[in-house]
Amino acid sequence: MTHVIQVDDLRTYIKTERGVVKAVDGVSFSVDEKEVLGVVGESGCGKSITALSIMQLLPDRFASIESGSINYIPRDGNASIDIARLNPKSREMRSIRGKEISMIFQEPMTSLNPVYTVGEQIIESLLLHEKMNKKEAMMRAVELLKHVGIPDPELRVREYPHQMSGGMRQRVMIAIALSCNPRFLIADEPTTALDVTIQAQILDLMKRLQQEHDMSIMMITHNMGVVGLMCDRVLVMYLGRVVEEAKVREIFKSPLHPYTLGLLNSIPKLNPKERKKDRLIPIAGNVPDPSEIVTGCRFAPRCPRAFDKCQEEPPLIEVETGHKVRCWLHE
Amino acid sequence: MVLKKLMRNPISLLGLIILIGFVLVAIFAPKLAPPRDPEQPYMIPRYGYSSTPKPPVPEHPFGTTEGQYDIFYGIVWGTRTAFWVGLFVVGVSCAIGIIVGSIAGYYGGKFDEILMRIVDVFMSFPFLIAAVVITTILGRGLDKVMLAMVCFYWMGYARLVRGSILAIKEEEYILAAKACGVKDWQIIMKHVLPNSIFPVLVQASMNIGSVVITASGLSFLGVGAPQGYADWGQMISFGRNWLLGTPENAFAYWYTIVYPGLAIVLFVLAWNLVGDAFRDVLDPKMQS
Repeated sequence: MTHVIQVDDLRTYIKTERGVVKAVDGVSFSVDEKEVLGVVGESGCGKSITALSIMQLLPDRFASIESGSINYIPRDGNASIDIARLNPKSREMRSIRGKEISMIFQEPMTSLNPVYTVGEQIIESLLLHEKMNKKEAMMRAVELLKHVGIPDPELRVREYPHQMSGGMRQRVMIAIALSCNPRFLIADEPTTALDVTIQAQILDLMKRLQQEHDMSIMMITHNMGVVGLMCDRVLVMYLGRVVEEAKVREIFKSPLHPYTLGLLNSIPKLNPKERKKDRLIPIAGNVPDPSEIVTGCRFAPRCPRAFDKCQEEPPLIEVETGHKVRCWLHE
Repeated sequence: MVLKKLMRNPISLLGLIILIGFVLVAIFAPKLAPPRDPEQPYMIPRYGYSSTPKPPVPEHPFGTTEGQYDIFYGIVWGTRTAFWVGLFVVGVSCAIGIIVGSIAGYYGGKFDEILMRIVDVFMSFPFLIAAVVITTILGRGLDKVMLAMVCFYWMGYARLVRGSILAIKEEEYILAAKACGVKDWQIIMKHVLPNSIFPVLVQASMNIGSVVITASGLSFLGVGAPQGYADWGQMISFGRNWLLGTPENAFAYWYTIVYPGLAIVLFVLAWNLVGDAFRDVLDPKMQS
């Protein structure tokens, strides 16, 4: 399998008034061709910052990539490009954004510009990257809307975002992201803001499009259900670090890290046989303030199984092929 | 499209009608009041040198003011002056304000700090006195008045644009546009400005009226247009001595004040009404 993107020891720091926050602290992972990688973790674990680092869209006054590399391997077998080394404003970076790597955001209600029709917003990246004229691009926009399952695309293409529902808007966002046939799609909690029935539709749509377009997806979510439905492999992040990495089946069958276990235990189960107790087991405490300096295992203060050795930070241990965990219990 | 929506509201329709009336007067000024000297159409013709105003007669439908300047002629050609002053001052200061405000708002940091302190410096001058000083240095004339007004009008727009850009640039659709690979200046022009421009347009159309009032005020103070130039403010300043009429008839010289005053009031009112309606019409969320 060839990689599409390979991230090595990425460190992205955020400067705040109270000091430097290591939002992403030595994260390494790769995404294969046609693979859907799930990235899970509570809010504030560095998932979104990792995504924004790959896009080079960090708010430049506060956050920057300190070290590490993000290698993007282009389709035609050309030499890989280290995104981390590119200037965020350079032409090279701009030609990657939208064309090679696209991103879908969490809030479909605010991700579309209210003063333009959805058609005008879809053709924007087509005009930018594909050298089409306006008429061709508009025709392509109608096709794209049809492709993402919007009825009456010829009419809808002329509507403004406020005339559409949340689910429709997210479909439009997906159409924009797919407009230039990207190789790699980053979806930052694409269904969190939608209601449950629409969530399933959008996930189905994304799965279908991923297969049709041979895309790789990095799916950021804190919903293990989404992971089970969509992903091939999972990366569990906690406080800027990868704590577990495994195939999706492994994660559900034999989760190793106490944090992963906690995330899985906090999902309500419908099957009464599976339901051991009536109550859900939440993970104790909250994600600590990332600006606090933690020594040793970062999850130890909340971990039910912490012991002496957790004073020291565990390395990422490969338990089986493709299943890594950062925990002393599995040394 | 925009016009159709403006028409639907009776109040904005009234504003529009008055405004169109003024535009027609400005366009057909040479027909309505043929200039005596085609070389200098803006100079109001005089019919004698007596200082006492003369009441309306068929040849001078609005009468003649102090120095026997024809009031009707002054009103008609003064319309052109009013449009010229209003559009120029607001247009130029708007352009400066938008450029300064968008750079300060979008790039933030040091740019913002420096540009906003410059704005503060300009804002700390008392406008009227500064305008008088500038026109005293540069000399009397409408162009100098306009220059002085641009100098002290752009800051409001800069502040307004900056404020709304600060709010807009945090919106997720800006990030989404960046994620599509759109260039910085295109983001400002295509995504940030169109969303932050409504308050500016509303402010601008209302300001056209107030600019004309201020220009009239400066003319009234004697630092505006040269003597005899068709300018509403100057017409009022001619009537200054005749406000009270004679001991027997307090309103003996009413025409010296009422006609130019009415012109100014209607002009400002029209712009305010239209400006108010702009706000509703231009917002895409109000459409459909």
